[in-house]
Amino acid sequence: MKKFVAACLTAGMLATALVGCGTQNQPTTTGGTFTKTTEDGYPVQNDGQEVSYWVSLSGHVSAHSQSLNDTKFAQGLKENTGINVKFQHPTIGQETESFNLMIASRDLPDIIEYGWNKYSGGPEKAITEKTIISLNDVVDQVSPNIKKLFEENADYRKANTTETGNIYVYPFIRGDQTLCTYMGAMVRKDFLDKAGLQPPETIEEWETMLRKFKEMGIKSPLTMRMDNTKLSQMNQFIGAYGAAADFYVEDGKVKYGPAEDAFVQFVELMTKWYSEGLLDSNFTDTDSKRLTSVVANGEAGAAFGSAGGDFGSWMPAAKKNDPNAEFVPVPYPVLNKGDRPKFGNADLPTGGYGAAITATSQNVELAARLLDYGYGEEGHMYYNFGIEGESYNMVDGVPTYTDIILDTEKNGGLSVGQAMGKYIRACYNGPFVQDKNYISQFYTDPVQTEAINVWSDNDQLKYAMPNAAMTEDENREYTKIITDIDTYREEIMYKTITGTMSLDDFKANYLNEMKERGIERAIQLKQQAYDRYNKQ
Amino acid sequence: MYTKKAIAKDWRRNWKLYLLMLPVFAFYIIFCYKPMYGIIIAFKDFQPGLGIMQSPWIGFENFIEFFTGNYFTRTLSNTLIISISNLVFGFPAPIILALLINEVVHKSFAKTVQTITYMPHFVSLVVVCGLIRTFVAEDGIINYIITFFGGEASNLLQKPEAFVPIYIISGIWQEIGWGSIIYLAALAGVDQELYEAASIDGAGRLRQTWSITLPSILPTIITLFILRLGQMMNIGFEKIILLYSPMTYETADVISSYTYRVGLQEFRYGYSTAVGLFNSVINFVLIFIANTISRKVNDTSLW
Amino acid sequence: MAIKKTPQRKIFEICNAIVLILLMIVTFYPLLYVVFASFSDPTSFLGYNGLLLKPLGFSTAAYAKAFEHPLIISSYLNTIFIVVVGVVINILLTSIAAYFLSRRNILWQRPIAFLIIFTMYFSGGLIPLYFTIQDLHLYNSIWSLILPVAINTFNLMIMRTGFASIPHSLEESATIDGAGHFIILFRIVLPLAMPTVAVMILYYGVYHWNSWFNASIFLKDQAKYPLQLVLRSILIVNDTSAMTSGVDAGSQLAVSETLKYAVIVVATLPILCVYPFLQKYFVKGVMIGAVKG
Repeated sequence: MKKFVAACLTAGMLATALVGCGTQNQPTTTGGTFTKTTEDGYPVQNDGQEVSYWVSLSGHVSAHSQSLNDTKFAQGLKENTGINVKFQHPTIGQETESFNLMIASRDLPDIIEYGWNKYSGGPEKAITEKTIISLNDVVDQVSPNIKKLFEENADYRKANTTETGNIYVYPFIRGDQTLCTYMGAMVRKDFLDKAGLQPPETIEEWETMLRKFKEMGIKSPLTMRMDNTKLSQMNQFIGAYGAAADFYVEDGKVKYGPAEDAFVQFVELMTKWYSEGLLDSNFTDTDSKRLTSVVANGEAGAAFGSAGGDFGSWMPAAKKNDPNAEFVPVPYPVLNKGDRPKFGNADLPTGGYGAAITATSQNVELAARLLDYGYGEEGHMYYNFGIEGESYNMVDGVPTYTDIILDTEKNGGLSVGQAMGKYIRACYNGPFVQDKNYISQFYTDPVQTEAINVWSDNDQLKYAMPNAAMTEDENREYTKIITDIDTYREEIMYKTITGTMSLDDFKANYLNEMKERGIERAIQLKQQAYDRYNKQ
Repeated sequence: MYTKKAIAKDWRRNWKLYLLMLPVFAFYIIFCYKPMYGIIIAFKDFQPGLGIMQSPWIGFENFIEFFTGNYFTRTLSNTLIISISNLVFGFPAPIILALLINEVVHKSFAKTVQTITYMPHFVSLVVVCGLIRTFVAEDGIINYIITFFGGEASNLLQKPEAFVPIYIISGIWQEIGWGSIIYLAALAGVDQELYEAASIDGAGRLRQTWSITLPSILPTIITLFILRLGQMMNIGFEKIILLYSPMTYETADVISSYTYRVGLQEFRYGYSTAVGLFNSVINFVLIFIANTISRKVNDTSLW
Repeated sequence: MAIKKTPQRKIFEICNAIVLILLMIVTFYPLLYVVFASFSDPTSFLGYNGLLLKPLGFSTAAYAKAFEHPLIISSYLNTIFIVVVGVVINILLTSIAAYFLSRRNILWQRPIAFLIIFTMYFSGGLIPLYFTIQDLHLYNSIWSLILPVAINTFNLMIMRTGFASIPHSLEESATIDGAGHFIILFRIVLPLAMPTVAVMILYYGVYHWNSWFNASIFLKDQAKYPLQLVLRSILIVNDTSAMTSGVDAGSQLAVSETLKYAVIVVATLPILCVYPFLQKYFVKGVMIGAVKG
């Protein structure tokens, strides 16, 4: 199940860039039909109609509350906005099925918060099928906060607009690259000290370090996973050769890393490391438990993982086995010392996920006012930090969480994330801009915070493929090509690295075979979507 | 056969039985046949917002996409290889276990064997696959045995040729006890006097097993065998994806795991319904053939 | 049985015992492993790889985590209700259908059998079923977990085979005595087919005990959730890799590994205890007693 959940989540992330829609409608213009009945400012004057709001229940909340309605967050939101919001949730783990059945049964709430790229046919289809409404007028007329934000930052708007120009969500936006980054490499500091080395910056220094570790008797100097669900992990080394492991954009041209020479060089490097015993022989293992134990037992000197879910549990486990165990995060490597890493790990700041207003809603304006709240100054503080004097205080101009969030003793034995779940939504997502001051206080171990800073110090977002919508037909063709290619690439890469297939054969055939299988067409489809995106 | 006269006669004789069957008919009509129109999703570009009936028809597009994929042949043949191996090795295993338990003289021992062997059935696949991983790892117990006999240790899950045996053997390990229960129940019905009569006639135990025990559980075996044939195309993707890796795709990637990966790329009902329908049709053809043969050969059939 | 044992027979019995004992060891280990893992210290277990011959350290943290869920008691009760009522309905309907299909001289029997088996292969999928449930006002009712699965066709076929092996002479003599179908089914056929019925109780009981999917779709109130659904949500919420975006931290996460095993113990122990009660029906010769009695 672990793997399944991870795969689904990762698929969601991949899909962010993929799914699009079919019809070539012009932006829906309902201009003039929308009459503004309330004044700006909160709380909003209204008759207390219930605004129903469908959203998945985060693990940070379900750990202590059966529904968002039971949290301080919801109570405060009602008071601050004056809007009688009522949250409803699908069963945990069955979000997609519940969503699809809700759509099929046409029994819709006022607001649905969802990853709309996952909507069958894409967000444009959700509008043409009359599931949700185009928000262009609503944003323009009754949502001053998000209107301002979209005007200041066109990319935020484009990433949440269909290919025909309809805004469809009040999006979740990560306000800083440190919020988009969570994966990277760490090295055992105690091993480095013993070897008399500095944390590596170039591929060459990596190789020196791994060889030294091997001489010191460390069984698997480097451990990392390279399967499709963790595609971005490969940015770790392929990035040094000038390509990302996935789609990216360079000088306005869409490229696919695994179809570039850089990928061949990357596989060559891995093959070398594997044959020398520098790369964990279990890297093919699709179950993370074994890799975890390799790190925890000190059998690995360097590992790749997320700061929270992976290192957050590996580090205490390693310390338990060896009290001297210390980890130090290292930047994404480069070829020449002093270069700035081109690629790293970063999710897109925004795109597709957010709260939409349904076509059946009788309370469009109230819903819009409720959703717009998170993008204003007051709402920004409320969504990110909660109630001043209770969940946070201003310390030297920086909002700082109080002990009822950070101290396990005082919050009733909850983790930081769970305690946050009572007051705020910064620890997962929602219709607001996530504040970077949240992440710097979120991780319990300073090494984790440091890691995020080190791992995000690169140009990943500059080259990132944005959430450019494809039409439905484009998407269907694209999926067919890419599923075949993924299978092929994964298989041949694993076999080459482990020596089951010869490196020479790989070098001779790989790139041609990718072309045979239509990678150029897939890139072309992506390029079309990207060009449309830019015109908006 | 279905003449007016025959129908009337049947009704006079059996109307009470048909009446008794009413709740059964109601169940099948309401919960199975009424929702069956959903199958047309396979031929449609299903859009949840439009509903099943309003979604546009696209004919066989979903099927064509499935058949023309680069990996269709490989996943189909892997599916069949795993299924057939499972039928050849996995199907007889519980029967043999039931026969062995049947030969045990001490009842308490027999009961203990039953109770313990059926337990792995209740352990979730995730945990079972984790255990398999531990067993076949380079430093695992299986490799310990291999090296003891002079072989070379290696991570068996990286070897394409080892995947099917691992899959089948672990399946037997998990399900042998659970599967044997149905045969034990059938064996419980065998008239013990038959054995006494046979041994008076001087028939040995092996002979008795062959000529008394087996024939008496044969209808159960045949029924289950036919039902099993009708599941040829169904290999759950969970266990496959928990055990395979790109290293073993060439033997391990089956239809269900492949469509699972397609599903990760996007979220389409139509395509998965089409693949499901394809599997069902094949399964149904197989069970139809098996049933017809069985009816001709030994008069045991499902319909 | 006073059969004189030949030497070959003795050797066979010894070999048989050895084989069965080996099989028991091999099949018992997974369960032992689960129990050991569930009581292991979470952090140590996370870093451990290999076979367990005893718990690693000792900790009940995983059980504490599972039982601190407010719904655990109510979900146990819901599951017990579903299993008991569900199995009664299953056995009732399945035995009626099996009785019908195992009788002789019924004109429409074969087409009906065919149409029943057809449903094993072709179904409309989730969405039409969901609408049916809504139309019948079963949505958010515990009956939505019982009625749509009132008959499992696979089980029906097994039961029919069991019924068919009962000598027809017994039924016929009852018919001559003027007994109705209900009497024949419940007074003669069911008692004679007790081993098969026991298997059915086990199959259906375990099915209801383990199922969660329908509940996740057809139920809205968490108070109506069955055990497996609650356990599942505990697992998902505590799954470390679900936090792919790195949004959780700290050693508390380690418990998710051992939790996986504790949940199996919590979910499995009660149902494992049912089997020994049914086992008496699988003993050789039970039929004879029923016939003669």
